[in-house]
Amino acid sequence: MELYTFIEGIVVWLVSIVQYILNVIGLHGLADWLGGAEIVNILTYLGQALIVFLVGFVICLTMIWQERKTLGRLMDRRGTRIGPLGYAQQLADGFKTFLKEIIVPDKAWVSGYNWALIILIASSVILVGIIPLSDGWFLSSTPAGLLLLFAVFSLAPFAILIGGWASNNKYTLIGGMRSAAQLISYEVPLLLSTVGVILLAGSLSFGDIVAAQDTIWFVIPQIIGFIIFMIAMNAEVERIPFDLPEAEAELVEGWGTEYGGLRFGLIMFAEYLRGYAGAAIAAILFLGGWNGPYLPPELWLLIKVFIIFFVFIWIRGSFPRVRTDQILNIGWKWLMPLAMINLAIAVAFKMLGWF
Amino acid sequence: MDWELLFFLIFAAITIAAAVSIMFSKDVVRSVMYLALTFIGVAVIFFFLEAEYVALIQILIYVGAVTVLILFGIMLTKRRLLGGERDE
Repeated sequence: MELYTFIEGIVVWLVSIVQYILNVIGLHGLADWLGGAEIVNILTYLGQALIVFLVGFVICLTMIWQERKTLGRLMDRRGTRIGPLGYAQQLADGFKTFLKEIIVPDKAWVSGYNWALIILIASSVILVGIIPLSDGWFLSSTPAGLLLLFAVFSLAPFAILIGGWASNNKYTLIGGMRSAAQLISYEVPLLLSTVGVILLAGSLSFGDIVAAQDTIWFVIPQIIGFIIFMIAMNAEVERIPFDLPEAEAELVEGWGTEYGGLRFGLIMFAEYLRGYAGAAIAAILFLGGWNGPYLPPELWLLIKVFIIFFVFIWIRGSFPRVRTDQILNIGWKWLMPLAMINLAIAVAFKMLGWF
Repeated sequence: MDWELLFFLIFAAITIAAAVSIMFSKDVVRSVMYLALTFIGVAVIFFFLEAEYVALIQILIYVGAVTVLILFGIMLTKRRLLGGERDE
């Protein structure tokens, strides 16, 4: 189903109702202006953005629920219990953050403190707009979609560093510095591991990459790349083995120590949005995206996303946090050469003419 | 009114203002923030020139990596926190 045409139908219907009312009142000029193609187009884009954001929001809530239930089971307890299957606990927690007082530290650099949060949340929400759920369900489809996604992804460590600095607290500063150290260790292997897929598909757009996996998923020829990608993506979305910037056992809440109330809730929300984006991009690049029999394509992508997110949770429940020097070693001494080998394999497949 | 020209002028003005602010701000970290704004402005100008790829690479490399590297370098040097005591 094309999302755009669907929303356009609803918008045209709503506009016709408003036009009828305006004509009854006697504002014929306003009614004609509202019915113009340009206004309908703008309203359709707004409606589409709203729908895509709401879907991303619900996916996020479901991921938080999945994480709490799965972690509970991994730790031999029940997890959340409120509401049906414990689903309402997230809504309660989210509502609770609304009620808390927002405290800005006295000696903070206030504009930097606020702008860091704005950059972080905006870049995380943009990610949801870029990710397509199927070849009809997307907000933007540029030919360089993958590059756009990684460009937006790489903005967050900058925001974290600025936020950690502006909070004027030693823990937040150390958290921000760790974020930068993490960025320079994982970003290169992450991008190198995707180059193999780009080479095999011969395109940077999501649609072409998924279409190229019609016969065989890229996880089979690119298995090394998939493993590197999963490790580096875990570092990118700052989940537990690599959550150095907010190591709650060592640095109170890491770079987010001074962000309280709703800001804290928004940071958590952005974190899960990024988790969703990371899982979705892994599914699109390596697991065939929305290809699959019988079920609608959107559902297939979501199933793969939740399976990959389950693996993320499993890793979180199983591994201890790495140290700052260890992550530099892992990134540069292990992942980077392996990514090079993976790239050579991809080039060999391409030279043999198999893809 | 040519909308594209108007938006180009707005973004060009933002870029130039940010570039000038780098020189005139007293705090090095604020300078880096203005530097990031300058890079983003340049990326937007690349978008106006229909060089999508260059614009995205500009954001990916310059805002995502170079700025963070500069901030990292600043924070590794010995300096004090905002308005606090000097760390010895």
